[in-house]
Amino acid sequence: MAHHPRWLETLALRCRCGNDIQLSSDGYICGCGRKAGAWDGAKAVIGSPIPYWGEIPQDQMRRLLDESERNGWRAAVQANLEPVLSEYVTTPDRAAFQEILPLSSGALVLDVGAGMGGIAAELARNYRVVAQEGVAERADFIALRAAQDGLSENLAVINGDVNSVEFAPGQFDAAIVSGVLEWVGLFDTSKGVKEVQVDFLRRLRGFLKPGGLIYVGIENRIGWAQLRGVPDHSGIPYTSLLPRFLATWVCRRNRNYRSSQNVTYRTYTYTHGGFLKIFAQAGLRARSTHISVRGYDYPTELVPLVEEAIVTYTLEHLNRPGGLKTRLLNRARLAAAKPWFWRTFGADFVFVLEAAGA
Amino acid sequence: MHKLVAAALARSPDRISLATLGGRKGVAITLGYLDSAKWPAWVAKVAHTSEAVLELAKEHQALLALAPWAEELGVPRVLDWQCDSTNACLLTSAVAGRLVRIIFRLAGEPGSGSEHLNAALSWLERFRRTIPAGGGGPAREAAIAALAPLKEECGAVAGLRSLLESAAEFAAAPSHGDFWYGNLRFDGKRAGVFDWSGLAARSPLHDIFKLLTSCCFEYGGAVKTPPDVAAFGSIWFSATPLARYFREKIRPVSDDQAELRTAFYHFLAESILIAGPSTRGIWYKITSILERRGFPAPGSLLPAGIWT
Repeated sequence: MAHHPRWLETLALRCRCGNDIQLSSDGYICGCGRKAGAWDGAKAVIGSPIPYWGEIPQDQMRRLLDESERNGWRAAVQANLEPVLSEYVTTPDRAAFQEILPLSSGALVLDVGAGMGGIAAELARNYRVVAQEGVAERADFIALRAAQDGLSENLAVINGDVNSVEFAPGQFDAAIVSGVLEWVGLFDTSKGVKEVQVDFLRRLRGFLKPGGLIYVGIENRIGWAQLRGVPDHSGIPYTSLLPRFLATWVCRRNRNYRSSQNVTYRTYTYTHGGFLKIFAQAGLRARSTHISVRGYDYPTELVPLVEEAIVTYTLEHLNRPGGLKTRLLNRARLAAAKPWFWRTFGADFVFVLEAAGA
Repeated sequence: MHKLVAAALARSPDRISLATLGGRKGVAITLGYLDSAKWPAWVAKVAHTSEAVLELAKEHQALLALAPWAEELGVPRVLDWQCDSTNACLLTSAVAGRLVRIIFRLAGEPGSGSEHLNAALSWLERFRRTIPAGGGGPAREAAIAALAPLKEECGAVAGLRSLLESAAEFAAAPSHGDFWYGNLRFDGKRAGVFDWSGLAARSPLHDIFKLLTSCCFEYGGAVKTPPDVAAFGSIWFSATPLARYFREKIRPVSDDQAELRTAFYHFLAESILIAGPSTRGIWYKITSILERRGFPAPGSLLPAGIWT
């Protein structure tokens, strides 16, 4: 029976009645009588888990969990997942963005929508991490990998929906939102997508201590990957480029549309300016903006929107000189090594946000 | 973020933007850019594995040793250093300048690539003049012993054995160890060099070969690395017994200029024979450049007909 880390007891949820519920016992019950959740031995379960969704089908996920318990999670992942997915789950590169996050050792970090725990587990080597994940099987997997890697003292898992887990204000030094902001519109269809996203960011801002940071990794709506026809979150290429109403129309009629909830186009991404606007609406401002050249999932190469940094990166990654085509391509890449170009067409953004008044 | 990086950010009165540019396995490299400055203000290397920590410690030691000549040679200065068994951070100044992919033109007028190649070779000259030769000394017996397991099947072994047996004493010279264009920065014609974890006493030829085999060559209307140059690079730098011999045992070069030339050109000629029959003219061009730069020059000691 795994035990929660001692520091988890210092955290509190905020009840609807306005009182705080300390996570210091195994049952999270407010003074008003409402039960917010419970510690189930490996993870805290808050509210109702969301229906299963993930990179692999649910039965395969359950087999993976069984095998992880028997043979260790790394061996199970390598045996059961495709190489690309296996790399995605196991690589420490997914948390490489920590090199640009000004956090002190032992800082308290909330990983929102932690998935299979690739980021949370790596951050837990340096910080205290709360991995919040809505899908029960994935939350179980994170708890298992933390226990097997000896990280349980620094990593607590909370199984609860991103839109409903309500922490008491002012507790975290940072919140990690990597590949999550674009999806939150699917989990709350009662409001417009932008409104859901702004509310989500505003809530996260409230969870932070003064001076706290939010890390956001997300695609550019008109990034070069999207222009090249890489499938959008809808599962269909080019939908992010369309006006929203047209994207909705396309999604309603396209059999490749991939959301099981069938709630039309609700996975909004934005241009650089669009992101800054919704951040401002949530009371946040960008402390730094980077282009993650390998995609926000692999943030090992983060280039700030500073001309010299862009030129340096471009020079180091030009193709080796060859024929005319290569030379022309290299020249084009050097010509495009400008902050405005990268800001407009960079594929994936990485933002470090702080409260607007900070 | 490592606390040395956080401290560097806190120390700076101006806004600094961070860039992470990947790095070798186990090492994260972060560059700090002042918004208004031309080059990065500093570079932080953070090692996360014990092997990477050792490499970083070597680089730290090398930079401390080079500190008196850092300004003159365009070598990074150590700003801060912290190390334990599994984690280390080396914070240094950045090398001023930009990366230039050297394209070495073999025909026609010298182009910009030649300019930068010359700047890099000038840097090597300065380096050899400036840094006292470290280590080296008598190595003849060891070199001959190292030949023993090699078969006679390639002509180079016999030639080099005879060369070693005829030499009296060998000495090594300070060498960067990974002197390829990616580790150089050019501010105008002035070169600066970083990534110093490989600083050691070796053959002075090592750095030249590394540079030349990393360059691209323009010939026949195309820009690419000729097969002979690539083959030569793989012979010199690969991990085969023959390569080990070339790298480690030929490195001791006599103090005597004539012997040094003999050693170099026997080695060069024999390795070209091994590398392949075509485009030897490229090596002739390379050695011509070396001659102009004051490195050992071809002469009558070359085997007859080697360039034809």
